[in-house]
Amino acid sequence: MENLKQKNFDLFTAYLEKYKKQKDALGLLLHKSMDLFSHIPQEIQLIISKELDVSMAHISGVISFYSYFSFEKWGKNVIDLCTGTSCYVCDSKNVVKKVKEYLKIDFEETTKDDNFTLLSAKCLGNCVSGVSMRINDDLHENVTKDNVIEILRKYEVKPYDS
Amino acid sequence: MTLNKLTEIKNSILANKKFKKIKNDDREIRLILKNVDVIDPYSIEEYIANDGYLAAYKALTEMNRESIIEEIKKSGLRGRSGGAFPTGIKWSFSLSVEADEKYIICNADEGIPGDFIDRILLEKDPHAIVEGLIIGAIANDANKGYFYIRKEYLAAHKTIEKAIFAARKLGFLGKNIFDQGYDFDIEIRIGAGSYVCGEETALMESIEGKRGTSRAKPPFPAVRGLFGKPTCVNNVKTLASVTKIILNGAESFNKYGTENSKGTNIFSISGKVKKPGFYELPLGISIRELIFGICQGPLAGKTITSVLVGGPAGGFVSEDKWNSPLDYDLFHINRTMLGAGGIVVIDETICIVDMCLMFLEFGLEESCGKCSPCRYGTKKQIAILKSIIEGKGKPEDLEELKNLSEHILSSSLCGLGMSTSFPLLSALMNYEELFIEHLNHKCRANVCKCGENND
Repeated sequence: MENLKQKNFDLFTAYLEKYKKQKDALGLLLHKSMDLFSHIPQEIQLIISKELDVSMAHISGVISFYSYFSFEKWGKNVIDLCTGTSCYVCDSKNVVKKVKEYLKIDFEETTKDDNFTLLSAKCLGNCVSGVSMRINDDLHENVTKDNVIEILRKYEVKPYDS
Repeated sequence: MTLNKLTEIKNSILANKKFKKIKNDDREIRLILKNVDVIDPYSIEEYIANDGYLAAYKALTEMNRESIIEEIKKSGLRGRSGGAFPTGIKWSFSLSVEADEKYIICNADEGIPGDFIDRILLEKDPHAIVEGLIIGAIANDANKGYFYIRKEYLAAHKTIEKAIFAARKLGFLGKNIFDQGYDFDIEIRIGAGSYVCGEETALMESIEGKRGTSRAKPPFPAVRGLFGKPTCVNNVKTLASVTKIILNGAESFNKYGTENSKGTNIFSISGKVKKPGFYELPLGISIRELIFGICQGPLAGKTITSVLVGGPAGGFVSEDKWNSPLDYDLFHINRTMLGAGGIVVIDETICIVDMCLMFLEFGLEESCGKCSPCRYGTKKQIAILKSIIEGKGKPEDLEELKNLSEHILSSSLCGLGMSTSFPLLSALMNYEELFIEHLNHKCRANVCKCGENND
């Protein structure tokens, strides 16, 4: 058994109540699990499998297909770095390089201290002011390779380059 | 809800507030964007004050399925997401299909990088889309609708959720809407970061709680769609246009545009221009007027080298075609799609060959993996293009790339696989000299490390 917070677990089961045996609610439940637990723990997968009457294989298939569902626990702050066309034109390639070097992680990975998870977004629909980067709910515009580290520092516990 | 009640709300708002007209450029014609940045998106009353929900009321009381479809056909409206299929004809398919349940879906999975008009409409005029969906439901005889909104558009989740809630409260959604004996309600589904889910059959799989893989057509969604029932899928901009067409009549819309592409379209322009942004303009405007007139040309000291129309599903348009009108048919002939109206302008600092690689990598990452031309073919294209970019290319590679692209284009299951090769093909067609330069270890933009000494 994984160590899930009882409060969040109760919230999840209360939410699940509404969707019992409703197979098409799988996406909604997986989103809920991401919101509450920052990932989709096996324990939750088993409950969903039982209550919606879908196989574990089906659930795994769905989780692995979509980039906003994860088996691995995400960090405290989730970075959505836009690598779409307009942001590419605004030099997103170098911003990505800089972020990866600084945090020492690749896309879809989490820093050792569980503070950041880096995701590649395509796109955030903010094409006029690229490069766009969203951290949790905050949208940062006109991000460049020169100011990106400064932005990341606002969310970090201790600097990554020390 | 009677007409009197709508008028009452309208008058009470207008007594206290005057709405301004806003345009990003004087040349704009704002039919669809009329309310954007003018009304409070969270206020259904302000929307009603600007003739909101009058079209849905009219559709229910003065019109029937046939006359709504006829009006949309007359307007010449074509799907605004890229496929450009005439909306009236799409809707008329449902007339001959019998079923106990029918669905209508608003496709708000605007995934094409470079397009952001759907986001603007969802966030700033959500009721126009809800109203369009109501009208679409009446025309298609659907009693249940879905909004499929992509995960990335956080603000849009809120505006649409609030809009549906407010509309339900006033009796525009739910049982017996507008007291006219018709039932229609809407549910929201949030995507989870998959580009292919913007393709209508993959979108339906996703709503059903499955992996978003495309289905083979036929059967078409109009016959067997969501949960095996007849389904109509429409884009956000299309539905917003429907609302205005029913409200003001087909002529108010089809007086703009060209012979085969009627009405206005909202163009989103980004990249290397002085005044990027979104502009509603009649179809048929030229790229040159758009880029040099409205967006005021290149950044200081730079030259515009190419214009990318339609994102990863579109293509590079070379200078000799900048004077031709932007409409749906012409662009099909040129092997590029107008798409949803997203235009990205690039200048000499950008390497088109490297950009093609970016698109292919995007296509590979977003491929659902069901059919092999898309899954394997794109991989092969990437390998060849990478070797060219690294200065290890062979002259015969270009022919191989073209062949491969043509095969992927003709044999993929869905629009994603078919369109992934568009940027590469258009680049090979219009800018072959750049690829040849890379074979000779030169990158004009100085982006690629294809020099002879780079190992």
